[in-house]
Amino acid sequence: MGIDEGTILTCSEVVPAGPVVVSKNRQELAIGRSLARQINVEVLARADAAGLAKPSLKSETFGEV
Amino acid sequence: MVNPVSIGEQKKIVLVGNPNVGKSVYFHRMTGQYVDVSNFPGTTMEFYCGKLGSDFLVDTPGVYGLSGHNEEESLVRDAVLTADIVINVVDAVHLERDLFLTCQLVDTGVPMIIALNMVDELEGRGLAVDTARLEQLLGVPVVATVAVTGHGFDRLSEKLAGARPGQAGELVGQLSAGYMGIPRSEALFILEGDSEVSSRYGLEPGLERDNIYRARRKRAGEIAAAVLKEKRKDLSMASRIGHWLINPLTGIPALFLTLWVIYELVGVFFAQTVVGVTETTIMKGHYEPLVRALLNHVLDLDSPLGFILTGQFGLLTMAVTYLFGLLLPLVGGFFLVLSILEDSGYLPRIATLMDRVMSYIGLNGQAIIPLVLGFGCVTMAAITTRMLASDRERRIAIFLLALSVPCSAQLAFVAAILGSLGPEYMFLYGFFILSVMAGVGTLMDRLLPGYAQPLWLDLPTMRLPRPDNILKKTWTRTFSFLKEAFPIFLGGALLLSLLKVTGLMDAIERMMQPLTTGWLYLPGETAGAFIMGFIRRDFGTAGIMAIPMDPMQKFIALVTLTLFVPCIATTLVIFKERGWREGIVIWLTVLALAFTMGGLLAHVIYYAQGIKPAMTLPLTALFVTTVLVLAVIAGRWRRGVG
Repeated sequence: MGIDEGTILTCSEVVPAGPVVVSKNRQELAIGRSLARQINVEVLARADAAGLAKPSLKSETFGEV
Repeated sequence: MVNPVSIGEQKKIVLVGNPNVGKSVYFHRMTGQYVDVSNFPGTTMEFYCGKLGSDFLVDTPGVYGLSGHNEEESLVRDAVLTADIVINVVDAVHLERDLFLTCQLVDTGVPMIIALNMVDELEGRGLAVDTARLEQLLGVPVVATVAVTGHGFDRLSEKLAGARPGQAGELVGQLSAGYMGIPRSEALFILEGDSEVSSRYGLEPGLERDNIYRARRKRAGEIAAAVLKEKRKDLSMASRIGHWLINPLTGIPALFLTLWVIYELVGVFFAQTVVGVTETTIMKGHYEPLVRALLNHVLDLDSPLGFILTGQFGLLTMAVTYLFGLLLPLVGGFFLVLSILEDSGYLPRIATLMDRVMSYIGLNGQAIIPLVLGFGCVTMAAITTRMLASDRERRIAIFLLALSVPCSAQLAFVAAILGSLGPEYMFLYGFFILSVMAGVGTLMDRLLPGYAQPLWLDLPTMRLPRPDNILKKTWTRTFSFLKEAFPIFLGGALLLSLLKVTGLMDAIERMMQPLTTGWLYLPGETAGAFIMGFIRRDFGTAGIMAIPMDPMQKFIALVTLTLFVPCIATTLVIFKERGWREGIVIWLTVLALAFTMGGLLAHVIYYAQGIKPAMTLPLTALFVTTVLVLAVIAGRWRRGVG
């Protein structure tokens, strides 16, 4: 899927109690909650901090998938 | 149409690509043969072969790699190993993902060309791709195309003759030197630890898979970064709609709105308005009287032959009326709706939205796709269960499809009967069938070892469905349904008439009385409907339309036949997918559950009617809810999940 350790992704949606949707280069991927829990992420920037329109958006770095 | 590649000997040209990149559109454009095309991964589960001038073109199921992780990957790998030319179809919007497979194909050394599809969508979303640079980095020809419009196909035709092996990754180049005398492609698979290819050469599988994959992933990422340029932000309406559909605040209302539109279109417009014209006015009002009037001149309609041709199960009356007056418009309506859903890219978003709910029945959100497709054709849906990640999920999904999902043909009769009973019955029917699905799924989740695999689903771009593909797909599916159903309907009608004329039907009805009248509280004549249900559930359901029954009885018969064993075609697919032993267990369990639940429902309905006739349906719904809650509690007990 083009995702590996160190890949920079955007978290575009978190369905409550459901999957996390991440995107990169316009590609979107829904990852089930139980799998998403096992992925270590480092937040690089948050959309609200960056002054973007949608406060729920945040950018995160993925650890090993 | 693309011209043939070579003159002289026939070449095998293979279309290879990730799921949902448009391979089947290429196949259709290049060979003129139509193959189902949709906007979700896993539409093509079989190989298709077509003539391309003097050569032949093979369409393959979408795969993410050629490493023999599943049956599809092994088969596509063998298709690549025996190909003269590979056309690697790459989705420009998912370039980085797709390049992993592309790099693997390049590493095999097979002569290839890259058809870069959907370049218009990429540009619409603010990105641009440098095809010349891509060609240079991979060492194979690259053609930018838009398959649905045919853009770039003339250039694809020109460049096909220039297909050539590409530049293998550095690591693969070094490692494959150790396998002198073995073709480069097969040496690669041996290195990657492919046991099947290794055994062909009597060698131990290699141990380099992880290293090769890591290097290939890195190479794919670097190539994507080098050729993709961001021109502007993605402000497309398709992206915005895509996000609204997975956000519960907007997605759940949108889902209900979609279901309501489907109900209005299929349940009201097609099932009542269109069928009112085709069945009542045309077939029963004009066609049947005409047939009877014409035959009356040449034979006695009360004679056995007259009964077979124009009686209760008349070959020329009932069978033809049901097929063309009722099934044709309704099945067409269902396939039309399904085609729109498939092509829009909405199904994977419903899967994302429903992931949590599906986990209660041991599945992840992706299983919603085969379950929804089952409402079109359970046979097709049973094949689509291959897209699910684990054997456990495939088992649960196939069982639920066999038990509780009525196909479009059966739904046509269900809609017609429920339409005459009223909306309260329609609601209770939907609620009961969904409860059975939820209850049985929950218990299977509890009883089968293991857990649901977490969702890992690629979300395709939302697209406005193309009317030409929608109509072509609807017509192809409806026509093939009629072609398959017509002889079975005629044969079934003939069998029923013969049983009736010879008096055997009375004997069967008497034999089945403990089940039909004793347990299900139905008239003895329903035995015929159940017999036909063994051949096709929809034909069995059609059978109950002609039997005089009160609304409760019709409802019970309808539910029992919905939960009945699937048609012969589906049964054969289940045997193929699950093996004959498990297939027999599934078939017998579904049969037992259908009669058990139908009978229990009958007892509850009549018990509730005894308490207060006006409250029969609400009390029944209450009882069903209670049982469902108990099943869910039993399913979650000590599960420690959720």
